[in-house]
Amino acid sequence: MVFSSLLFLFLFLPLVLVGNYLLPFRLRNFFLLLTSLFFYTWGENVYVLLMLLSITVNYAYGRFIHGAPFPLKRFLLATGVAVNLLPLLYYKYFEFFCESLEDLISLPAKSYEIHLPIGISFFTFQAISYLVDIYRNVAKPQNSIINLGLYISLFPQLIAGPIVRYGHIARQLTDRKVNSDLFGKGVERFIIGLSKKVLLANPLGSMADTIFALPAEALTTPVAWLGISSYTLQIYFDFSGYSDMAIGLGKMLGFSFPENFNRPYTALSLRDFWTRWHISLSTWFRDYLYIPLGGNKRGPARTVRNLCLVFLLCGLWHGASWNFLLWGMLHGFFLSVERTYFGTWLQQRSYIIRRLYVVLVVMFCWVFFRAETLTEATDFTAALAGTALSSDIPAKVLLGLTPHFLFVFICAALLATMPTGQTTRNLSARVTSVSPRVFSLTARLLSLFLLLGATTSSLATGVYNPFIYFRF
Amino acid sequence: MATIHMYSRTLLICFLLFLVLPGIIMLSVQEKEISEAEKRPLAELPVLDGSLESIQAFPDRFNTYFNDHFGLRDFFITLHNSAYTRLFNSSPNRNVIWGKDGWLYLASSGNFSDFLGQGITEHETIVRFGNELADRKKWLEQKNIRYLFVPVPNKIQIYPEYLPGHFTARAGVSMLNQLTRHADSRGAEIPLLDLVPTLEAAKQEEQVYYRSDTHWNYAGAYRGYSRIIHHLGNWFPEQRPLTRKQFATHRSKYPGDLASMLHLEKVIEEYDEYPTVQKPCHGKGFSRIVWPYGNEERGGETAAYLAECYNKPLTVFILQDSFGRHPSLFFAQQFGKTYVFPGSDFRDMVPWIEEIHPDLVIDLHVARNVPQALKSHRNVKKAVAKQLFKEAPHTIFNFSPGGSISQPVHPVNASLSPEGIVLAENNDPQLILSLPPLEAFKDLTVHISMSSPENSVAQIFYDNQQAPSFSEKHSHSFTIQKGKNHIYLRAPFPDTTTSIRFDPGNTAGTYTLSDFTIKGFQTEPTGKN
Repeated sequence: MVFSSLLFLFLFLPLVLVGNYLLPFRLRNFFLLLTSLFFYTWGENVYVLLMLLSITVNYAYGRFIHGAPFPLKRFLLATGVAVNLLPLLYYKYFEFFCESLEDLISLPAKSYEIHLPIGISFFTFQAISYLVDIYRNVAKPQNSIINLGLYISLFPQLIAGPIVRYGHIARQLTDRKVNSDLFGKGVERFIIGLSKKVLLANPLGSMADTIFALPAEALTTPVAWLGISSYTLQIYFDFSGYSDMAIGLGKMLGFSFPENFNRPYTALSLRDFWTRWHISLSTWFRDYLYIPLGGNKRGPARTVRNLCLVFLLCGLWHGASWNFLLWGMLHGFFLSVERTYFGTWLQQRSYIIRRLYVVLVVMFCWVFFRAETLTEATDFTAALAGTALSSDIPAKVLLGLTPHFLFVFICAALLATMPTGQTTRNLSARVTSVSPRVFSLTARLLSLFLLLGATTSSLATGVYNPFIYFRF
Repeated sequence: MATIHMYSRTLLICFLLFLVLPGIIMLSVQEKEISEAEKRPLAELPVLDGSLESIQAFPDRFNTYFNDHFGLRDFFITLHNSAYTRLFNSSPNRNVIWGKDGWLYLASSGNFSDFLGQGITEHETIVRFGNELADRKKWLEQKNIRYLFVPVPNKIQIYPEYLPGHFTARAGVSMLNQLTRHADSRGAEIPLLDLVPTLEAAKQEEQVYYRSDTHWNYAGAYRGYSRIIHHLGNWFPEQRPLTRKQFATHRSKYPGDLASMLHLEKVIEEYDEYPTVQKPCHGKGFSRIVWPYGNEERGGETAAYLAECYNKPLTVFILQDSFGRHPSLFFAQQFGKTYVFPGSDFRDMVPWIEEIHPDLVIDLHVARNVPQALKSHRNVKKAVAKQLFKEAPHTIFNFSPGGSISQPVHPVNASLSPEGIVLAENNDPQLILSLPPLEAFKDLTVHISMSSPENSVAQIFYDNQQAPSFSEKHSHSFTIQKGKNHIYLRAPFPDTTTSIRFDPGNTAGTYTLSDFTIKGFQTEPTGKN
């Protein structure tokens, strides 16, 4: 079940919201845990047992680590992290590892068909952060297994983040309040996130999918650029839209989740980019891997090594394939290069040059993130560079170049590259200060419901499944 | 602050109402079983019967059920599509093109890519289609049955002027154009009737396709029917088409399938002139026939309908897709017995033809369905290839132990003895055969006599001008049985081929190749093949 589905919007969500507010507070966590586990079971079936196992194991480990003396404490942390990583390694990376070995030593290919439980990367990292925070005495272990279970499985952030640190949410598990203002903010955020996903990301994704599915001989250079531009915008609005929905749902339930995106395509360097893109993941890697490895405190060579290692793992976290590995390494490479004279030179360039540098580097890296294979990625890159094999616009691309798509593309490009939030906040404040508050709030309400109506209509059209001829 | 609170509470209430309303409507309104607009049955509420399968499948099935039945579904879809088309003057559905003046076109099923000339582009595919038609004609001729293939042009080909300008500017050569040109070059050998000139001329006088539907209207269908009957005059001189005066028409609304795909069938209105025969022939209208045999090639039943005019000659089979629905009204008044097979193709027809022996078979399909309609029947193909091989006077290539013409054969992953013993070292034995020039020949056929150690799949690869090395794309495979095999087939390679690779099977072991012969007919000096 995804947030942008009719079943979630019109059945699951209203039942959860109504149930949550009708129940007394002391029962709400249990209710939310049950609904979150139901949410997970709906999509993943028996793999909910994996989640239950994770909750139980981390509950035990948390209590053991907290009470243990130092050498044992470290050992327990190491084994706890390993136990958390084991399912992730198996379900996500075992097939990749075996296939790579087969290629390396020319063994006959086998099919493994290992199902990847959705959200496993997210809840594994959340669980690890729980244990590490207890080890570091940043947080106390959770006494209630229900509350811990809720932290690990809470459905708004379960399948696509943000990765919530235990310390951030510990108090909210037992002490949270919701009033109509907070709920209203949650609704606004949810509607905006849903609109980003359905009205912007989906049409852009449709074009990107069409273009990336083309064989190399059908690619033209303009089409390749259209494809990667569409994908660049799609992934931002899709991911940030999902984060907005998660944050909005959290607010509706009384939780405050951290921000996950901060206009990443307005960054002025790759370093800046990673303080704005998937912030919960980049800070997780920074706090739990980069800094323990030494960060940038042990000389330039170590810094480069640490950056490359962290981003290699970051690439692998996103997906088990050489493409993702290469994507991560490319980011590690550019981040390392920015720590040389190039970085100093870049800082002295104009605002436009710096913005353009970041956008082009990130777009180039997205090719490897999106392509299915390395061969596909290199063919696509060659097409971007002007050595495309075709000069005809494929029919499917031509069909997609509608006034609607162009409208969405332009809106998305402007929204993604707009000046910083401060400017728009100033603009918003100026508008509301000159117009009557009632008027501006009414306009805001109507705009939100216009967006909600548009997204719902779009979702409904997506499940309209006509045939030319009768199917009986 | 009070205003903010009021705003927040209003937002909260409206949001919750918005979320619960579709569910409340869904529970209070009676469920529909069929969607007229979508032309399909709607999903039923899934039932849990306690089995593991039903539990595992329940989420997806319930999801489908909910998507088909949630409250205000039709309202949201119509709202979206109406607003979309008004705001953007384009189609909200990628399968439909929104043209000028309310004209809609099918974009999917390869329709649009074919219009751009990006569909079937390889000449050898067109040649293969032509060969299939020639084979059908030949096979039916032996049974004294006439055959006529009638591809109905896609609407986009007859009415391109209503497409968006940047689409029309990119028009290419369609598959139908290529096929009709190829058929023209081969003359009477290929029994194809081109309706494009007829419909292009007719559209100057009247509209021949629906605006909001993929199909031709009754006026277009009448023009097509009339042209077919005139063409049949070459074989059956007594045949005359019905005239328009023999029909009365009444005007009524026509909900186009393309408008339905956009769920705008109530918004986009169109009318048609439905014809009814003023004096029907003495006979019976269409009734369903029960055929006791299944579909030989594809399994399942073949739907068939029979109309009769007792005082008229000829028994005619009409194999058709949905484009045959309108003209069947006219055909039913034309022949003694008119059998109509909707949704069937030639492969389904062979047992019917052998049982009933019609005088004529008309194969009528819209152009985008031609590749499907021209799939071969295994036994027909083999029978015709065998006949052609026996009739062909020229032996172009021959490998046989002790044969008179020896040609170079180079084995790979195998050894080949002069006696024709092929010892396959692994499961990919290959024999590379160099061919003499083939341009002077036509109707090339191949005979292979061999024994195989196992049931297997043999394959013939060929080079061509665009691709000098062998590839799966330019190959033809066929099954072989364990033991002796006699294979007759039309040469799958074009006349520009210089070498072929024959894989006798995909298992290791000992094969015996007794004969590999290619024969053909000399091409006529005028250059017509």
